[in-house]
Amino acid sequence: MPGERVRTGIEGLDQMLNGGLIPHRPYIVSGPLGSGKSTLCMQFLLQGLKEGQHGLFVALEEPPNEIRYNMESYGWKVGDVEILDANSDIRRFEPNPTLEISSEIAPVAMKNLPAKIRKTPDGTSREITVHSLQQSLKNLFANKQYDRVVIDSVTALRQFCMRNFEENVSTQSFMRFLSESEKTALLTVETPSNGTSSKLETFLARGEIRLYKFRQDIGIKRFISIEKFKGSSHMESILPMELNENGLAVHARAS
Amino acid sequence: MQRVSTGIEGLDAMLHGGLVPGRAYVLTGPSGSGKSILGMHFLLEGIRNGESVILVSVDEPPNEIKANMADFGWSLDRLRILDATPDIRAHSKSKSIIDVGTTLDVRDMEQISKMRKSQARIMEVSVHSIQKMLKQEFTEHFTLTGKRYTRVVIDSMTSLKLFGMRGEDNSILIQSFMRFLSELEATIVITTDLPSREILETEFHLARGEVRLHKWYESGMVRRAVSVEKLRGSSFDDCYRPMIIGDQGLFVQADAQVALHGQRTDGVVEDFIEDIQTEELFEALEEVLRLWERCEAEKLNINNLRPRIYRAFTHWQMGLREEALQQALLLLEQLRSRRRNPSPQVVAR
Repeated sequence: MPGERVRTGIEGLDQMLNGGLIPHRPYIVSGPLGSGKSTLCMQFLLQGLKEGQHGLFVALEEPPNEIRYNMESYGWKVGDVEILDANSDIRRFEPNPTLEISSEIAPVAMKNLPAKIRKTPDGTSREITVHSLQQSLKNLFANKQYDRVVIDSVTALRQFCMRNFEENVSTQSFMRFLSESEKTALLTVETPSNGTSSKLETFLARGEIRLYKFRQDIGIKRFISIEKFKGSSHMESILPMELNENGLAVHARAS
Repeated sequence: MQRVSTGIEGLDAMLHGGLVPGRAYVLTGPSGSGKSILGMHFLLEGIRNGESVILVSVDEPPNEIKANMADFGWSLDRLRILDATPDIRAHSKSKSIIDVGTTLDVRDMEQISKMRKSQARIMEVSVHSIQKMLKQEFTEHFTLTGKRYTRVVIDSMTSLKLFGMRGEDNSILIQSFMRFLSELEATIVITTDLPSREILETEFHLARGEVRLHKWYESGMVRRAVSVEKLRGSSFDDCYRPMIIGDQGLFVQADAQVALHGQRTDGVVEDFIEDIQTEELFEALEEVLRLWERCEAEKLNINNLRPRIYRAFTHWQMGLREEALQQALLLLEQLRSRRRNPSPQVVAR
């Protein structure tokens, strides 16, 4: 039953996906360092804005002010994208550190971001765990309709936010949470540079968009492929992709 | 936003103006590839502009750095250095006093002549102590001079991990350390050895950019090159560019190509061999795709070759370059013969 599709903001990619993503499902965007994962996700959110939908960017790797600067360098108007700063503070080393497992984080529209990085306060240190993040998102989703959600990245979530948790079970439950919240979500996963596949997330997601980056002496070549897309047919070949001053562009062959 | 010059003209050109300020970068390369020298260029450029700069040395004692850099005729006198080289460990059984020291000191290079001797109280370096020291130093420096440090070099992360993070949960510790560095709001360069291709190293993952140095042998000569692997928030030149270490330090020829196809000898950096292999494979696959399109345009029946193309790409993805190349070449062969002889036929396995 062909339903409405969610457009990704990248024309060639929509073609590869036979029109776009199936709504209300989580998808994985995987690829090595600097392959364009975050850029793809931002294009996805901007497309949402264009269609009058609300988007939320959950930043686990970079401070929001830097993400804003990076994305504005493409000349995009990202001011209305809401961003949730889920970076943990600096750890304290005192014998009995005051750790605040924070579930009280709120998103900010990019245009209202301070220009500088948030500083760790002197007394306490905020830690984000997968549990607290899930709790905050739950509160957010209850109060506001978000149509598109980006988690950047699951790799960071696994590495930094699951210290006292069983990683696989927590990841599974987090993905489950996203599905139940009925968000069309993109989750980025960083793969080692030899391109071996990522583990569990891919298995749990309803689809995977994979980015490739290969270095040659004449420069970097980029490719994109759809590894998996449940409930839809899709293009099976690996297509060349460009990352230029306008963002990502995929040249799907006319079939 | 104004960019931060690395002090090397050719590298700035590759970075399309320089580094984006206030962020942490990793500088990688095998040992002897010039990482420390590049770090020094970066710091000296800051001094030339009247900025406050600091070197955190975990690898080498300051007196040796001073001697090493003297060859280039550089004056390091105004360079501030945090000597974080660990002391000799006391091995007495009863009581080895290990002072996870916050007594690490920052000095001007000018005052350095001899190696610091291990004291009765042994100082052990940890990420924690370095963090604390840096924070103190930043505050004190600001109180004394009214200036903030704008450039920091940490040489090297590899040693810091070896000596300063024993028994700790590395990835979270590094994450916290990187967060700490970000909050300093200085432009930070962290040197580290080349990562293994299989493991995700946290500092690479979190760094906002990576400059990689290469070193290999060709006809018995050492050759060098530099490449930018990642630079958030900016476009960059993504080619390898030749680099030399001359009597003025590093020199990057931003407008020259590195020839990788010259005479290769033993001891070529693995990276380069892999790159050449990738390139071969890559060309083969591209040619396959081109031929495939042409066959489709000519309405040839090539459907039964489809599994082979998947196989080639699957091998490629799994990092099995040779197998992928083999599949690609076979496929090329078959596509070509199909075009010469368009009648549908069974493929010989």
